[in-house]
Amino acid sequence: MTQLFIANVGNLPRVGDDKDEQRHRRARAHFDRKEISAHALHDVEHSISQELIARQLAFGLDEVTDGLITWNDPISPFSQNISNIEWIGWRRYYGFNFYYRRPLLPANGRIKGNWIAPLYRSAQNMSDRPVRVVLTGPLTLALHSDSNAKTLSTVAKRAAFFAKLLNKEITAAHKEGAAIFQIDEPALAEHPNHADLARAMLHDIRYKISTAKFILNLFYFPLAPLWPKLQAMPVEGLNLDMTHDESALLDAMRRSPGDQEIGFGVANALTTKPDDVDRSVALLTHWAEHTNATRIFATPSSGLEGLPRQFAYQKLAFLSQVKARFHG
Amino acid sequence: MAKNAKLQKLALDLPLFPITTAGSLPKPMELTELRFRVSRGIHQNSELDRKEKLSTEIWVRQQERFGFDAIVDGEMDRGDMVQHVAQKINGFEQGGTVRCVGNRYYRKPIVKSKIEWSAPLVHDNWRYAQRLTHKPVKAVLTGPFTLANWSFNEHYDTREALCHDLAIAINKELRFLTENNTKIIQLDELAFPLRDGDVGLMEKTITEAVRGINAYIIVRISSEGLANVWARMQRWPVDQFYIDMVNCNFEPLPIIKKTRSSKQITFGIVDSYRHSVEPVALLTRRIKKITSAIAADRIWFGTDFGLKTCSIEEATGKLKHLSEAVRAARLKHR
Repeated sequence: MTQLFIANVGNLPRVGDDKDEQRHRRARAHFDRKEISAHALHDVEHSISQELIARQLAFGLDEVTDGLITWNDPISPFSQNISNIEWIGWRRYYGFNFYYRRPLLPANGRIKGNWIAPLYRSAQNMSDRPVRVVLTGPLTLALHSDSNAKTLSTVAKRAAFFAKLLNKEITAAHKEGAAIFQIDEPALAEHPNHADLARAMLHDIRYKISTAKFILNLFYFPLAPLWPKLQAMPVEGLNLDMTHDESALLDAMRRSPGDQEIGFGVANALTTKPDDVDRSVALLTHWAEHTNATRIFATPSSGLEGLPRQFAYQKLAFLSQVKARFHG
Repeated sequence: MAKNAKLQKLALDLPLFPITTAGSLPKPMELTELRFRVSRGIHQNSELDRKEKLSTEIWVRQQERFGFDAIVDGEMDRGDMVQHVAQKINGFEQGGTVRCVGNRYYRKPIVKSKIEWSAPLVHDNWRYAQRLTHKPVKAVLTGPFTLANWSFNEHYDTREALCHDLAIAINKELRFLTENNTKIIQLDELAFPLRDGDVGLMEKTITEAVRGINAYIIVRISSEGLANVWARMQRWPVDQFYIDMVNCNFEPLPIIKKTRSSKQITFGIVDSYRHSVEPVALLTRRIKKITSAIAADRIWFGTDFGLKTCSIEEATGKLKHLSEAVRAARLKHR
């Protein structure tokens, strides 16, 4: 009998519209003006993570994230600990009205320390459900960075560099007890021709990590053309954005179901429109009945930070309704 | 050197390498605080209006002082580029708070019903600024493609339908502007290019937006992904493209050089997000990079983006150095 679980897959809005919900914005402004210390900002961030985790648990999510509220964007945090890193401008992220800082990787840059493990530890202390550790994948990081160094001049070389960096982060978080790692690769969804590179990098990322679940998270683009390559990916789970080419993707999946655990991104993270509970339940039920899957997930299609907070919570509530209806 | 035909037709006599800026300029702290107090109902709107006009005048005079050729009003009455325009168009409702970069947020609008233009969007501030100067003032507003893509859509079945109605609404605004003697209009389309398949939709949307408009039309776009679509863009019925060059490390320059076109281009050579004032010598090198690749009569120079995230001192320094570098380049070019 298939069990449906629900999970969050990424960021959550760090502010809302009422005064108390804007405390991160105020704290960050004070910090930027050097009016409060990093420690004081951290206290505010801690309280917000706590709030967001509590909300996810209240909606009955089986796997949660910390809301990624310390991330400026999905790219720059992964280069912040590289010595001699430079930043070359603010770029749009996938065409949204959202910008990331683009890193210029130095030759011989050393990776100093790690930042994910303490965030995981803090988040897991706030949750009685597993925390998914979210990391942007090496292909996406490579395609959103540059370098003048010959050793990092190609996408493949930069991807290998980032895979090594991510392995260090994952190793440190795993030592703290993290058991679920989600690797976000929208760049793979956009560029299926890089599938072989992505596969090789996933091997490198999980080097010497044998007792954790890795989930490859793909979003923002149609996924049907990529499906045949996904089954060869060295991951235990696939999280798929169902909002672009649902029919074509399901057809491809039915033709060769594979044995990875599937997360269906059915809560559309890019629209304020309510999602259809019946339709999502029908999709999940159909998949459960026609495959050997014992566990499936329903998730947002991507991170929810692009929505105002009340709508982000509505998406989580939707997942809760889907789960309840699925299990009758 | 041949003068641009549209500018001549509009009796706009601009020098070699016209100098401009993208649109937004920093607000004085007291104006920012007053906007906050008015939004909370603590202060009257009339005081805000007075302060906005004063700040507009200061920036118009500053641009004149530095010898800018196409002036902006500085957007003293605006917060976010999408929210500001959308809140004045029927069919939009104000949405909740969404983050766009760092610690900056905006209220992302929601399309709830049919889009319709009902009142001027930017004319009042443009007119106020134009009355302060003999130099042409650009009317700057967010374009229909960006409004469509950077809002939530709860009404239209397709993005194409939403873009169409927004193009019609913007066309009405442009008619109102030109009927009131606006000669230079800049449509900010920073959502473009989005994905490869969007070129056709963008072309259709822009064509509808500028249909029948007798003005010098500038479209400001993102430099990212430009190389793939640049050639096709030369068909658009607009006069100029405004491109951030520093932010993208001059990546599009080779394709711009290679593509035959008579359209003019504002090259953004001042880094709007760096909190330091680039020396004139650095700007001169950037100018040289452009002038050695592109025909002189096609070139304008400006800032990469608006300067609202700079301090007033930084913005003033950037505008001053931009002007000095360009005016020196003019002399060298003669």
